[in-house]
Amino acid sequence: MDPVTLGVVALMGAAATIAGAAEDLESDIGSQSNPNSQVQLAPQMGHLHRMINKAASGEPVSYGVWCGTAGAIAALAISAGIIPVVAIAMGSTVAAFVHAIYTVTSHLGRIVGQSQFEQPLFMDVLTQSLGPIAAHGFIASFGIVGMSYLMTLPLDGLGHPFPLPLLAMLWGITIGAIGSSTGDVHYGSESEYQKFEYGGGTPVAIQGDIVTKAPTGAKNSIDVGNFCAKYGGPLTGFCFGLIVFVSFWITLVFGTVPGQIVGIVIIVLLILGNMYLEKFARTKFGPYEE
Amino acid sequence: MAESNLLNQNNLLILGIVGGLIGIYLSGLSTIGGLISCLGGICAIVWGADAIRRVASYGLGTGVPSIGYMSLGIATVGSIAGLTAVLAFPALGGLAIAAPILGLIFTMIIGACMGLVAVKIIGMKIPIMVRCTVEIAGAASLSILAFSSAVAGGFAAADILNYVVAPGFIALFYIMNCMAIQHPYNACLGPNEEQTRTLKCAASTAFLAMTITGIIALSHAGVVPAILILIVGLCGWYVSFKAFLKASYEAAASVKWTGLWPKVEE
Repeated sequence: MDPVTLGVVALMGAAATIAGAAEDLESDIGSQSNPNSQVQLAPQMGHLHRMINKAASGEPVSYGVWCGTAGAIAALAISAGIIPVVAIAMGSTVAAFVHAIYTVTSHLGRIVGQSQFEQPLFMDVLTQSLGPIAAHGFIASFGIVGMSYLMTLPLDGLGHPFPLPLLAMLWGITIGAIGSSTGDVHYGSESEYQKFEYGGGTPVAIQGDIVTKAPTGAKNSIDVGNFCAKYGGPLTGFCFGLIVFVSFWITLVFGTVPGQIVGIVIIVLLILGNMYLEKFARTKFGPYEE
Repeated sequence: MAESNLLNQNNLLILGIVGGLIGIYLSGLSTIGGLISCLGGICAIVWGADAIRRVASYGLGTGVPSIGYMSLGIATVGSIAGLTAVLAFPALGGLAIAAPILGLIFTMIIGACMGLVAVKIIGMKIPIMVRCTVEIAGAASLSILAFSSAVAGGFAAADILNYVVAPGFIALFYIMNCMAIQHPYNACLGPNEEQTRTLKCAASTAFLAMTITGIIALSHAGVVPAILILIVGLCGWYVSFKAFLKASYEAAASVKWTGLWPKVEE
C-alpha cells in the first residue's frame, strides 16, 4: 500500500463529499427529479407557487452533461499545457453556463406548458435562483472532474486507463443518481410536505399538495435550499464521498481479490445497519402502524 | 395535449436525414467543413426532438429522458459499428464512402429491434413506438456522426477513432446530444405544450451543443474552423433562445417580475 496513493484517495473522497453536498443542494433549489413532479403537479391541485421548476431531465443525465462538458474542456486545456486546477475550473465554468441555460429553458417551458391553470411565469424566481443553481453546479462539476483527474494520475493503484471526459461523464451520472436517491428524501417528504406528519411518505392522494407559503410571504426555492443544507445536502455528500473512498480503499489496502470480499462484507453490514436504523426511526417517530 | 402540429413529421424527417447526411459528407471540406457538418447535426437534433415529442405525448412522463438515453446508446453503438465495419472487414473496402449511411442503417435496425421489444415483449401500448424509436435513434446517430466529423475533420473511421473516441469526447457527444434531443419536449411538457415552441427550444439546445463542439474542435480541427463553429453556434443559440423566450412570454398565463400569484378558484 502506497501512502501517497492513500492520500490521493482521501483527497478524492473529500472532493466527492463536497461535490455530493453541492449537487444535492442544487437539485433541491431547482426542484429537480422526484420533487419536481410535485412542483409540476401543484398548479393542477390549485396550489399556485413561486418555486423553480427545473426539469432538465433527471439528475443522472443532467449531471452527466455538466460533468462531461467540464471534463472534456478540462482535458483539452490540460493537453494545451494549462495547469490542471485552472483547466478544471475553466471546464466547470463553461458547464455552469450550460447548466444555467438549461435551467432557464426548463423553468420557462414547464410553467408555460401549464398556463391553463393560471400559474404565472415569475421571472424574479428564476433570476434569484439562477446564481445559487449555477454556483452549486460549478462546485459539483469541479469536485467530480477533480476527482476523475486524480483517478488518472500515474500512481500505484490508480492510473485509470479511461480518458478524462469519459470518467467525468460516468461519475457525473453516478453523482446524479446518488443525489437523486439519497437527497430527495430530505426534500420531498420534509420541506414540500412539512404540513403532513413525518414518516407518512408521499402517497398518491397528497401528490402536488405542497406547501407554498413561508412564515413571511411565499415559500421559495432558496428556502428549500436553506432547509436541506442542514441534513439532506451533507448526508448526500457523505454518502457519495464514502462510496468513492471505500471503493478505492478496499482494493488499495486488501488487494484486488480480497478487496472485493471486504467490499461485499461492508455492503452486507450497511444493509443490516440501514434496516435497523429505519425500523428504529419509523417506530419511534413515525405514524406507521402495523 | 395541444394538437398544433404546424410542421409535418415527414418534412422534419427529410430535413433531419438529408441535412444530417449532407453535413457529414461535406465535413472534409477545408475551413467550413466542420461548420456545415455541425449545421447538419442541428437538423438531425431538431428532427429527433420532434420524434420524442410525438412518442412522449402518449404520456411517457419520466420516460422522456429514458427513451432519449436509450436511443443515444443505440446510436453510439450503431454509428461506431457502421464507421468501423470497413476497418473490421477489409473486403468491404469499397464501402468506406458509405460509412455514415451504414451507421445510420445499423442504428435504425437496432432501434427497430428495441422498439419491437418495447411493444411485443414489454407490452407498451404506444402504436408509434417502433417508428419513433427508429427515428430518435437515427437522429441521434446523425447528430453524433456530424459532431464527431466536425472534430475529426472528416468521417474517416480511423480519424474519428483517434480524435473523438480515444480522447473520450464520444462520451460527451453521447450525453450532450441525448440532452439536446430529449430536453426540449421534457422541458416544455404540459397540457399547453405546442410544437413550434418546443422546436424553438430544440434549436437552442442544438446550437448550444454545437457551441461546445466548437470548443472541442480546437483539439484537432484547427483554430479557424473551430472558432467558426463556436461563433456560428453562439449566434444561432442567441437567435433561437430569444425566439423561445418570446414564444414563452406570449403563451404564459401572465409574466411577473415580482409579487404573489393571483387568486384562483380551486
